[in-house]
Amino acid sequence: MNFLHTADWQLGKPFARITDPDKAAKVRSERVSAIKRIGTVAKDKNADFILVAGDVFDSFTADKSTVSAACSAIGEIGIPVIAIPGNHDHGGPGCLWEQEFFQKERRSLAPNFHILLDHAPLELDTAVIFPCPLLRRHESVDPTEWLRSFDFGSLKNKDLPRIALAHGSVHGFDSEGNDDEDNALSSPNLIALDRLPPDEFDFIALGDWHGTKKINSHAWYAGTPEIDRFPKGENNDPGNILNIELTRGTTPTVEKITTAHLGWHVIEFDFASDEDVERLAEQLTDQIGNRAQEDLLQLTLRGSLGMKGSTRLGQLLETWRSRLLRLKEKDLVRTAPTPEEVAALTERAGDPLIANVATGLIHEAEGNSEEAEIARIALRELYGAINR
Amino acid sequence: MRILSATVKNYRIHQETTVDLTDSLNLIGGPNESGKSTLVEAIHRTLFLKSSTGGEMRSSMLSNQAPGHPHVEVRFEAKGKIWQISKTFSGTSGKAILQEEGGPTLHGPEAESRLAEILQVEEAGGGRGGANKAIGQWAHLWVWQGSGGEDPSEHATSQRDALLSRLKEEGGGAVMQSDLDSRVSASINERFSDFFTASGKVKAGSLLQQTQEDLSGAEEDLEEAAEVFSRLENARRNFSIAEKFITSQGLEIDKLAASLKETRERKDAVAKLSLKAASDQRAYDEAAAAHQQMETALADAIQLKKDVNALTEQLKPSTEKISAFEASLKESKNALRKAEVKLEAAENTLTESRDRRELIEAWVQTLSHRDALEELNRVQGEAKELQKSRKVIDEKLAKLPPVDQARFRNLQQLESSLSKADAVLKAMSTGIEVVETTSQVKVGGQILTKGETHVFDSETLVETGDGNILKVTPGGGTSLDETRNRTKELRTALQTELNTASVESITQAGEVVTQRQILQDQLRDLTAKLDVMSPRDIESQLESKTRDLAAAESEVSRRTAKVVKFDPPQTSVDAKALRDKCLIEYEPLETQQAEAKTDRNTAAESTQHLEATLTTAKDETRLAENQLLEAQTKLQTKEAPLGSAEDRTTRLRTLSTAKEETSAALHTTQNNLDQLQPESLDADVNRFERALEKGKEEISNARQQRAVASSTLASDGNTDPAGALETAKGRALSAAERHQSIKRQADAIALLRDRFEAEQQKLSDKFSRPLADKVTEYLQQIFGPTAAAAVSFEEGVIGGWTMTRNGNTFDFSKLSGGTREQVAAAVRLAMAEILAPDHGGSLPVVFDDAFTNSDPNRIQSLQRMLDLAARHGLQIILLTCDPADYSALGAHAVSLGSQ
Repeated sequence: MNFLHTADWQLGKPFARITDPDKAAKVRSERVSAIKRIGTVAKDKNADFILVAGDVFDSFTADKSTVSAACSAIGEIGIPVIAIPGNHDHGGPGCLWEQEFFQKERRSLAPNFHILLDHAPLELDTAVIFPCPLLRRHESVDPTEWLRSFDFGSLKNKDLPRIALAHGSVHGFDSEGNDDEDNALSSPNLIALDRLPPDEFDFIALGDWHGTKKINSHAWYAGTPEIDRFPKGENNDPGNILNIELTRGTTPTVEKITTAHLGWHVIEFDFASDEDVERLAEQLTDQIGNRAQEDLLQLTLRGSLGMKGSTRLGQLLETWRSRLLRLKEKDLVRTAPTPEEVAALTERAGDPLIANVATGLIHEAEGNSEEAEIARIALRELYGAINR
Repeated sequence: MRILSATVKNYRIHQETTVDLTDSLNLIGGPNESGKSTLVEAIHRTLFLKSSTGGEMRSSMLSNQAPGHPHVEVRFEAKGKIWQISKTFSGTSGKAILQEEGGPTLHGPEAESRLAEILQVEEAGGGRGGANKAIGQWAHLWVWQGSGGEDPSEHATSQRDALLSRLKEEGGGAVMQSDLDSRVSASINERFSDFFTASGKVKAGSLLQQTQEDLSGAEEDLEEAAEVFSRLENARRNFSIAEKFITSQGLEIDKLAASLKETRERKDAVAKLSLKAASDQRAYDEAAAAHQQMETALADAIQLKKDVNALTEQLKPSTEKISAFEASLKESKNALRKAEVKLEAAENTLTESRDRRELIEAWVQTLSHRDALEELNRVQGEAKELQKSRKVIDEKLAKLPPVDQARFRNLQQLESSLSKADAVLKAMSTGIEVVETTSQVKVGGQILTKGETHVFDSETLVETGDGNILKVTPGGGTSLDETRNRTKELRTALQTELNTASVESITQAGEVVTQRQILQDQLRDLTAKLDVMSPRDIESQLESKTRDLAAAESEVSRRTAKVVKFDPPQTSVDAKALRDKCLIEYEPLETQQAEAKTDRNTAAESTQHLEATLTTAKDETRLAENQLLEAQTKLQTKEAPLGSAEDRTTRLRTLSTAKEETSAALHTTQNNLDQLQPESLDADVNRFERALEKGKEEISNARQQRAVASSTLASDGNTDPAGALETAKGRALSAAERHQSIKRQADAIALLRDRFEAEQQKLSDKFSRPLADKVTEYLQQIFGPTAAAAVSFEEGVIGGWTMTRNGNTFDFSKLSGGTREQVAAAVRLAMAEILAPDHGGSLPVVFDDAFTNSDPNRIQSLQRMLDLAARHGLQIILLTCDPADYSALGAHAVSLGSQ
């Protein structure tokens, strides 16, 4: 048998740092589109079912339109979609899984969608699923604890492959710390894989870590199918799902399939001279091409630029700001007039006001204080006013 | 440039006037209408107005006295050369000739152009506009009449560029912002006004304000979203707490219920034990009572036996005592009888003696009454005799005339008064005595004979018979008549009184009075005696005594019957003697009787006592006998049911055993009961019930809390608090970034604006300070070393002149009229001095009656200022109608005479 392992769909994630509401909506809707892409893969691979290892929704109080969109997309897949609540969409009193609207929509749009809220094995024709749902954001006990003492002799068919479905951090793998993309619902739920009875599980389908990650030959993080944050670190590999081929008592065959659509780019750039601005322009074109409204970019800029270079950079970024879904700019560039610019600003016998003001500001623009920063901006303004 | 001389022809008042001026101080004097102002006007127009000027301007120049076109020639020094400009103002045909000494001569427009160039003014155009412009030339050097106090700012501003250029030359640096400076500054100001108001506050509607508001809005939203979310979290927490509580409290309640059940069972056991204890108690009580009863009965029997013995012992001596008492009583009774006989005898003797004594007393009374009666009768006889004598005297008195002592004294007085009156009359009356007569002498009609005397007391006619009638009038006049009348009245009264008293004379009357006195004395004596006897009392005494006697006699006869042998006394004395004797005999008899009575009473008491003692003894004995009988009966009754001594011992032992057994049973039951702690069971039941109640209530509360939390948690999907919180956080961050960016931009613009302003101020100072310093130098000539001037230079406008003096600063407009004139003059001189190097080191400064408001003292000190200006190379042309005021100036004086 084979099935698809995915997790961390984070449907309804607001992307509030994207200030343009249309762009934010686009990024949000792309996550629903990802489900459709998963459906296509399921068909291609002739999967028996799809396992979602938590965080189907970004919020445990997801609103109606998110619920409807999710159910509709899941319903279209046709084959069983089996999920557990994660830390973002955890169960418990008042959770969306109990919501009447959700249940109604699930019944009418996605009868193939099963959310497992109990510590009880789900015995299918092709496999047995051991769900480890999170019923609160942070469980004080290991959600897989119940598996340690489970009486496997009670299973109806002991020859079916056994799959544990869990959401949390395994030893050595912390959740991806908070940044401005992450929300308050992030919370570590520790899973001790080594405490599970050996040889009882053929595959452990994990969620929470957004990159695709192999923990051991039987345990994988599928990662998120559609990237939802700027990836950190070299080995972070989000935007995939896994196709697992499994039989009882053997090592699973794992195939990674990329499903991500939107580009999340991270670029760090160091300016040595004003000419480097053009170099940056080339790099951006190389990396993103002529696409618009398909990419997000985290741009960290360092080094220093003259007045002219700074102005040019401003123009360049203005262009990319409109092309990109989001430009997350970390501007550490020191804007300081070049010696020529200094001369042009201060050596003005005929313009005593400009010369004197510029001289004062150039002096004040040194240093890292807020005052220095304002003096630098003032210099840019002055430069702009003179060269207008 | 200096004006050297001027000739004015056909110009208003001037037909032809020529004045020569020196290159320093010039004073043009002359009275009003002498053409001083016209002269300088003519020079000014020649220098600046086109000769072809027509219209009103030209008309105003025409002379009303001389025909011909106005013509003016001015010689001046400029650019190191001597020039002469001649203008004939003949309208369109006006002529202008400029001659350069030792140089070419220019005509017409050429001359005009060259002149403007030399004077460094813009050439005036034609027409009215040109003319007006011409009039305004060199206004900073030319003080027209009446404008001495005008604010010099406008003139200074008009010369700004020239001044700046001069200052720049002197200072070596720029003193004026460039056009680019101005443009950039303006653009920054514009950008500033996008963000801020003029006062530096954030402008409403500006991007800065908008981002600020966006930020506050986003922060508020975030706060709200966080609150909603935290409510949700709280509800979740409350739900969990309530659920845990419900579970744990449920277990507690089960425990409590079990405890309650157990306690209630114990209570039932206690109730049963209590019943048993009560029945055990009863059994024990009965056994103990039976035992006690037996013991008591045995003890009673022994006691009764003792009592019988004691009573038997007591009874023996009582019988003996009774016999002795009976013998004593017999004796005592005999003695009593004897005493009674003796008493009776004594009483009889006493009675006899008393009867006799009372009889004698009756006799004493009787005899005493008889004596008193006899005396009374004798007194009564005497009184009767006295009454008879009194009657005789009364009769004698009645027979006497009614003369009493008073009447007799009245008679005596009348008689005395009469004799006195007669004596007086006799003294007053005249007596005629016929001593010898031959004829009949008649006196008062009465013939008086010889020797006869006639006495008369009234006018009396005396007829001597010879026909002579004499009227004799006795002395005394009218009183004679009065005296005579009185005598007569007294006599009549005396007689009347005698008649009334029925006496004939006073002597008789005196006798009658004496007799009457004697009789009355006698009568008084008798009456006194009778009063003493009081015959009526005697009468009543007699009656009373008689009655007393009768009573006494009756007493005597009554008493006599009681006395056996008695000889009645004959006299009162006898009777009394007898009575005394009887009294003496009676006393011892009384004593004897009393003693006998005492003896008898003693005997009676003794007898009575003995009788009582005997009765008591008999009663006691009887009582003791009864007691004994009773005790014997009781003893028999007690001993009968007890049976034999052996029986008694057996029974007592049986009863004792029963008592001990029931006591042990009771003790056991009580112990069992105590072990169940019955006293705390009720409290325990209450406590458990209360705790159970409370626990159930708490569970109910917790369920309610769980329901509340559950309803808060129940989401219908209309909102997504967690998502909303994320959204709000993101927006707040974005808004903060945006605001920071805009804020920095705004701050940078504000910084630029401040810097530009500061630099502009520095430039302004660079210009205005030397100008102000120069003005100050001139002012100090007038106002002394504390005076200083200041001026502002903002956006190319020179103005805001102030003068500081003695530490006080005044705006130009606030200065007095005179001071304004002087300050304005100082400013003009300073400007002229600064500008002079452009004009060959000198410029003329014209003051046409410029100090009309200045007082004479100031006029004196301002001459020092003018002198300084001249020393600094300026040409001063001062016009005044009072040249004497400026005598200290040492100026070249030109005098214009009145036309």
